[in-house]
Amino acid sequence: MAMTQKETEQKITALIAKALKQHQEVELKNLGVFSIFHRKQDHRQEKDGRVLLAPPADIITFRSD
Amino acid sequence: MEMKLSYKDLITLLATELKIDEKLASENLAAWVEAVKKGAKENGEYHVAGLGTFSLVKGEWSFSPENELALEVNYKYAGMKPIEILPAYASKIGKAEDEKDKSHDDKTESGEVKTEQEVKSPEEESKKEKPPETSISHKEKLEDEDPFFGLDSADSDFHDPFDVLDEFDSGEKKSILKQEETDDSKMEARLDKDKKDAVNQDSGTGKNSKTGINVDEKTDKKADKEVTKTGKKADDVPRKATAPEKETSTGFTDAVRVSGSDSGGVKKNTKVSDKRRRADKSNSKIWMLPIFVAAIILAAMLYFHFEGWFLAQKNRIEQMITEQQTDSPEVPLVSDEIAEPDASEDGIDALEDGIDASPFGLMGMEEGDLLYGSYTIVLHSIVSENRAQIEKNRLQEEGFKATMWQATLPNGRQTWRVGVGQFENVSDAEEAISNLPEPYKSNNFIIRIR
Repeated sequence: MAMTQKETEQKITALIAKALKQHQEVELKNLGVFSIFHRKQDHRQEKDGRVLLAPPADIITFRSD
Repeated sequence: MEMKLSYKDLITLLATELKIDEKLASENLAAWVEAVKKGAKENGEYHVAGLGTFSLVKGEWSFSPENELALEVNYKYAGMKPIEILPAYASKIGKAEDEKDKSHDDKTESGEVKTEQEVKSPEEESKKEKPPETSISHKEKLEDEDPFFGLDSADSDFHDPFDVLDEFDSGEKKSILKQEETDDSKMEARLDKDKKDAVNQDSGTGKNSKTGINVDEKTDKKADKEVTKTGKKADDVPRKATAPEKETSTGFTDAVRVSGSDSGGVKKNTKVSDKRRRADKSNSKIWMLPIFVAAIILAAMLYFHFEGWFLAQKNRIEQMITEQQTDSPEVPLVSDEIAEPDASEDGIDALEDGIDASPFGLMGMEEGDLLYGSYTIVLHSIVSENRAQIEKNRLQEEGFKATMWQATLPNGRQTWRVGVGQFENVSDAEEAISNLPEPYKSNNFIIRIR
């Protein structure tokens, strides 16, 4: 029974991870929603005057219910 | 593909994967969610292997994904790091400028250099307009404003070569005028002398009274001759001024001296004009630089243009050869030669030994179909299909598992992409990049095959 529970947990995790890799939004009832946020390329200036160009990125975000 | 996986869809997928009914799958999923919530409430955080860590701090939920999952989600921009566009303030240029400013301040303090840029009260400015100060300050101001100021001034090393002619003309004129003056004074002196002699003769002897007229006539004739002679000489001056000759005439000697001094001036001015020519040459060298750069760019453009043309020609020739080979029945096909050992068991063994049976990896032969969902490293993105095919063939010759497909860019442009290797996840692809040779090692991107 414990083995089955572990397998079930692994399957759930794998399904969520697979959906996130495909940039899908995943809804989990009573917990929250996983989504992918695309951060655009941007530049920022440090205190010492350096200007850095930050690359774009796709970030996993979680919003609780 | 739907962009949202709802709770219901997740239950359906879980039921399919576990081969259980949906009700049981729903219960299992709900139990898992409860376990996560319970674990986070008890310990503050709950880690789910392969997904990440849920945290609950002061009633606020947060989630930090596992590095591997975050990397795979961010596969498009994997390996990209922040780039420094501008350096820090405390650079060498800044220091140099500071030093320059400091030295400038020191000079102004010591009184060596005084400029009008110094901020002064209106009274001081009005004082500054006095002649002696303005003569210096005006010059400095002109130097500041006019970049060519000083070129025509007497103090400057640079002279207009045409000034030599002006100087020469002025010197020549002076000599002629001087000569004319001396001739006139000489004539007057002689006439006075002759008159005096005539008076003396008239007063002395009666014999001489007759000759007095003759004497006058002679003197007049002499004077006329002198005048004509000097007139001729005066006319000759402009022609003879440059060529010094030995003459006893005062006009000539003066003219020769003047011309001699002028020739010295010419020499000086020729030196100056040489300097100017050198300066012009250096300026022409500066102007040659952009022309030289433009020529290099043009040459590079031509090189790349013809490189593409040659590659296209080469590809056409290769295609023609392959077409001829397929058309002619006498020439045995290469694929047939390969197919024969495939039929035997030994051939199969040999192929299995030589080629990795796994569809994943960087090296090896291209498999029949692309594995959708896997990752590849894109090395080329080319508009021309022929060139893309050539690059793919070249990579295959080098032993890479090369693939080629057409992609549409966000701006609607169609390109042919050439990728190497097939990888199960982004981590493997990133590891494989480190094995790539330059320039591919530093110029590539990972993409998911869809």
